[in-house]
Amino acid sequence: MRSGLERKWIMFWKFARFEWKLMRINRKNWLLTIFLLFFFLLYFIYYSEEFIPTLYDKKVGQSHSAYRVFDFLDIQRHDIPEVAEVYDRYTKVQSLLNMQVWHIGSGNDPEQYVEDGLEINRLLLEIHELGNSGIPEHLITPIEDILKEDALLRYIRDNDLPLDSDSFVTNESVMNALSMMSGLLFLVILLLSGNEILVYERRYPSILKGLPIPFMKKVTIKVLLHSLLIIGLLLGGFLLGYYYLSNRIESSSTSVPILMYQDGAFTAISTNQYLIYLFIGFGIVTLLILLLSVLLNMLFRNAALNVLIGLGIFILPDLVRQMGFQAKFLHPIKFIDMNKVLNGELAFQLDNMAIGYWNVIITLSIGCLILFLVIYLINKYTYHRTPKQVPLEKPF
Amino acid sequence: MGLAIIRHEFKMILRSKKNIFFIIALACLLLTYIVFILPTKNTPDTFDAEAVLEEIDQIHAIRQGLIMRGATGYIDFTGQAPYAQFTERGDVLRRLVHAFQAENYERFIQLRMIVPDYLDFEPTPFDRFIGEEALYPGMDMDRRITLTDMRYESYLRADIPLTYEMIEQKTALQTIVNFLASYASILIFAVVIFFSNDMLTKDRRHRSLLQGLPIGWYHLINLKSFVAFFYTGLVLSGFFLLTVGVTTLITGFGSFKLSVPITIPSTQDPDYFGYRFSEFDAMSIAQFLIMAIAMVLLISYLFIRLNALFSLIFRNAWIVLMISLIILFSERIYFSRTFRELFGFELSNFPQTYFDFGRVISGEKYYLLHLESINFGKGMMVLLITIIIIEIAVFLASRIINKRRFFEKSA
Repeated sequence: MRSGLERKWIMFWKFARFEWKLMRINRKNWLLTIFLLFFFLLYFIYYSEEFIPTLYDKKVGQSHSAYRVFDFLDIQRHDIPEVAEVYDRYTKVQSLLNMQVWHIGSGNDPEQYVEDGLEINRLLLEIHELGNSGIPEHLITPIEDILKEDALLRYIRDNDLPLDSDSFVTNESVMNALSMMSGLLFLVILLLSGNEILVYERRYPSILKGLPIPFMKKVTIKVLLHSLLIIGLLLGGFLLGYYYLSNRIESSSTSVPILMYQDGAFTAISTNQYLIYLFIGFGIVTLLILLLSVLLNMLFRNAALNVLIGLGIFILPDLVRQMGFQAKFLHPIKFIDMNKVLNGELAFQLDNMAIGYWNVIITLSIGCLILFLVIYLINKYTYHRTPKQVPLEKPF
Repeated sequence: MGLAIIRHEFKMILRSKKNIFFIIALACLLLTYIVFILPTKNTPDTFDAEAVLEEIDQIHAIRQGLIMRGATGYIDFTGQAPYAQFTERGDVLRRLVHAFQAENYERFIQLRMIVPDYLDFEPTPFDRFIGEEALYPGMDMDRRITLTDMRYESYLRADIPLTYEMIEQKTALQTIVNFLASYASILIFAVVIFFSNDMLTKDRRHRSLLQGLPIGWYHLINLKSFVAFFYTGLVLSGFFLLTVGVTTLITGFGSFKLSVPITIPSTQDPDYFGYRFSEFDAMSIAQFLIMAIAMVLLISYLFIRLNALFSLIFRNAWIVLMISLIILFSERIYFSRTFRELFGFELSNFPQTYFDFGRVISGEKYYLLHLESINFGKGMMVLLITIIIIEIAVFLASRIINKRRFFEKSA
């Protein structure tokens, strides 16, 4: 005779296996599998043929576009005093930029390159304080970029990292691929993956309504299995792509830093650390969206509505912002785009400096708990209704 | 029997919870855009009087400085006369502000064509195109100025009372035309795909009821496609009327007398010894709309039949949705202004080149890719040939995957 506890776990295990089988025979999951597994690989194969600018090329381009500013400053500087001050600083910036091009190219002096870079950033920040007078809008370097560059250079200086012209090439394509996956695309994949999570059972009520397992346990198993599948595939696909990329480009080094936004400032961390943070974030986003899918399934009992409403919620903050309201309470919806959270783009885009990685992780975790609680309460409520109010029917 | 099926199908598609909610969501989105976002949105033609007044002050300061330094002549090397140029710009800008404040929009447009204030500053106006992978920013800039000029000329020629909304391109007709002529118009087909992705697969849930319908399988697929096509057309024209109606109430209807500026390939003969620059022309709004509707009908039909084909092969509505959407957006994967051949064939031979039909009609696609063979006529031909191929494929698929195999049990 097995004890009660043991019997409970046997049911848990058996239901998990049953659910896994259902997922396996669903053709939709196979398509998602193929997509997730080969997304990064195809992305890298396709885009590695494209020309990715090296650090040297970038500096040359930067120097050229900075030079354009003089066309605007030169004619005004004699007569408008603020412009004259900007002009003073800008001549120094231009000269340092050209020195940087020399140091990273034939001069081969990375240390001086870093020092010059820090000086440029200091001057550019001063120009920002002067209000950028005389510089047309499209040639102003955003503060965000200056801060990023500054943190990167400091990290390189403090850790004595080697720096050469090709350093950032691998980094760039990995980041591009991740930023393409994160956000809307990942959300659509999750919503599609979770859209029939409960509705499926309503199609075979005679079999599935009588299973002797509590509802919350069922939901837990389903959400866990789905999220394990998605995260596993995402990780697998990413490693596959990364393997290809590191074979393809010789100079791949994970010591090259990446910037992470936290508490209004950028800190440089190693690529590996960044990826670990990112995938933890993806994991929590997956849990959240799948729980949301369960909730939407319970409320609307329609697979298409799950995708529709999920997407609708995601674009709501953009819509409200377009209408001219700064609705801070809607910002957490945008946290789903983990890559943008990590690299600080979201914080600057929404003009909300509190959006740092740990804050976002905590907010999303609380969101998960709330969703779980709501699902529990709704289920409880449907059980506690008496036949007088509605005909006695077990929804799932 | 056929009529009964059509009636039944139409009832089903009309009552589908998915479609109803989708229509509600889309209507909400559309109304929010028209009522809240459109009236306050800044378009490239929006006139910012404050900024222009500030520029006038700056020009005044510069002129004073030039006078103080005695630098009012011309530069020997370049032949430019900065003092005279600044004086002219300042004068015209001041008149521009006055015309704007007096709501004399005809004068406003005439002045704006002399001094394009919508460009940042004159000396190097094409900087802003450098970031957009433009190979020849100067050419893009010239094109933009020419198209804007042509549009302004059409305002003056139209001989109608001008409003500021017309200049800002916010009236009903202009909103519709601008939407159709942008890449966003491709979303129309996303709607088509979403409506028709489950037209066959939804029957598999009621196998006992529907497998035995006394009607041929291929015939049934055709009827279902027809109903989906008709329904989509109905919904899309409903949205069209809604947009026109509500926008008219808020920003005015606009006028059919205005024209859409288009880009066309050079009319010089191919052996011409010099560079064959693109040329520009104008098309009436009515003509643009008729061409757009023809393209929409053709591409919608193409996607509905494609959905039927995928439904037969995959038998799962979600897979159909995903694959059709991937095909719809497939051009984004490789699109670049220097990429003109796919698998050794010119891009103009592929149907996905024409999915953003508005840009094909307005000649923007030709201009971006610099492929003279991309035009409306060729687009219609390529799409028709694609449809014929898909028709044959659907016919064959309906023979191979017959009713019995389609309704077979699976998850």
